[in-house]
Amino acid sequence: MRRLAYASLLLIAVLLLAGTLYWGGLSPSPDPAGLTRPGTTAAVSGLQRAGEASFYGATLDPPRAAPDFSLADQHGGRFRLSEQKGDVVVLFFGYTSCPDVCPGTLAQYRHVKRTLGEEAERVQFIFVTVDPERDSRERLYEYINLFDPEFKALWGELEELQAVWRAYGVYVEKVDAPGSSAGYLVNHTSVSYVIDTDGNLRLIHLYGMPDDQVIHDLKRLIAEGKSDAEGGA
Amino acid sequence: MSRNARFGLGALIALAVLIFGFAVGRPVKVLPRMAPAPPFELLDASGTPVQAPKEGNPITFYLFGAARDEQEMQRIKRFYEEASRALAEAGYGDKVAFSFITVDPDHDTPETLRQATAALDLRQGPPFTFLTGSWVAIRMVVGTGFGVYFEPARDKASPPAHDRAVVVVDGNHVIRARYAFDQVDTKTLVRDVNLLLKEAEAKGATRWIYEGAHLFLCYPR
Repeated sequence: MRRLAYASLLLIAVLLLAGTLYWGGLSPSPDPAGLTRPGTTAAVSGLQRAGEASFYGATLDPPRAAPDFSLADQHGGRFRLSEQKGDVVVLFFGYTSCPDVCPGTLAQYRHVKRTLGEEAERVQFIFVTVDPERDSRERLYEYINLFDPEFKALWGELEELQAVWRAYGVYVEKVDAPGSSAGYLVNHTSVSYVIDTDGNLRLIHLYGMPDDQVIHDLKRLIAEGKSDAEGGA
Repeated sequence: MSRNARFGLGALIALAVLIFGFAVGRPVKVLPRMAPAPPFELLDASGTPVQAPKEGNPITFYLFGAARDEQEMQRIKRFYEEASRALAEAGYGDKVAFSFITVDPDHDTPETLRQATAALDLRQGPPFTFLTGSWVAIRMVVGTGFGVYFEPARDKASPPAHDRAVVVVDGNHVIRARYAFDQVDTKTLVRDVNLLLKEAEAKGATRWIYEGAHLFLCYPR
């Protein structure tokens, strides 16, 4: 009887091994045309991942002037992107009722800013609302203060904001959230756009990128800006 | 060995045989879930915003190009006509849609796309939407999202170089297949639509069989 048990276990092991080898060896490529899939953006995407040492974010090559816009900030002033040349700008779209991505990103930027120390003076962190219905100036003021009062939170009329969203390819979709006190949620693009000191859109940072990589990219752009300024002088 | 142990062992063997048989025999085939398709809002040829994903979206074939590349636009027209005919013959004419996304956003305004579509004279077949947007949006959608390589136009006279790809997106806005435009045949497209529709219609226990097919990579060869 014991022999039977051993033989059965051996049979199971052989079948499982054979199955594993079969799937591993014969599974067809899920990419029939041999084109690279999203996520493996190396040479494929129009966005190119830069050389190992240069940037961790996806670079936009060749860089071009970031689409300009003007929106109201949380203090009631006016923010115009093209007037920020000389600073690195990190542009992020979100909303104050966001349950996950937005507070996560802003908390990360608070840490990034602290780690950058004095260099952070050359970086502006900009939060543009995708929920103008609820995000008033007062609400944005309170919300952004939870993270860092020096961050800018921008808002505007729906038409003004739609033009900015469209220029940056930001997807915004309001979805009902029955049972939630929020009433509705807003699905939105979660990437951050990094603009260099010349006002060119240089990098896309995906949500969840580690802090040290974000810091590395920002430091590099700050250094580029400094050397440009010194070269110019 | 007790009776229970024998029963357990028997069940284990049966399960292993079943799994092996499923992997070898591939009784159900599926297209891989390659990646979520990028959500986007672009403008169509009339300047109207078009959003994806949207509930009830049909299976969509995405094509990429530049309106000023006349030869390519003619190839796209031929592809659309041949694919539409084959899909209609298979009874899938009303289950699919086609979308063209420009890789030449500086040149392809909605008006340019309107003129291009008028010149193509696409009369019959499934809906065919021509889309454009800002250069950032196009890079985000075409490059990062669909993973289709393109280079910005080197000069104003020539259209941008790009991969000629056909990307198949299912009703849940998931990329399920990607082909080189010049290599794919209509038979493959019909097969893909057939597989996607069968999977979408699966309910109850059948649904689990399809999930199993994904688990065991039962893809068509």
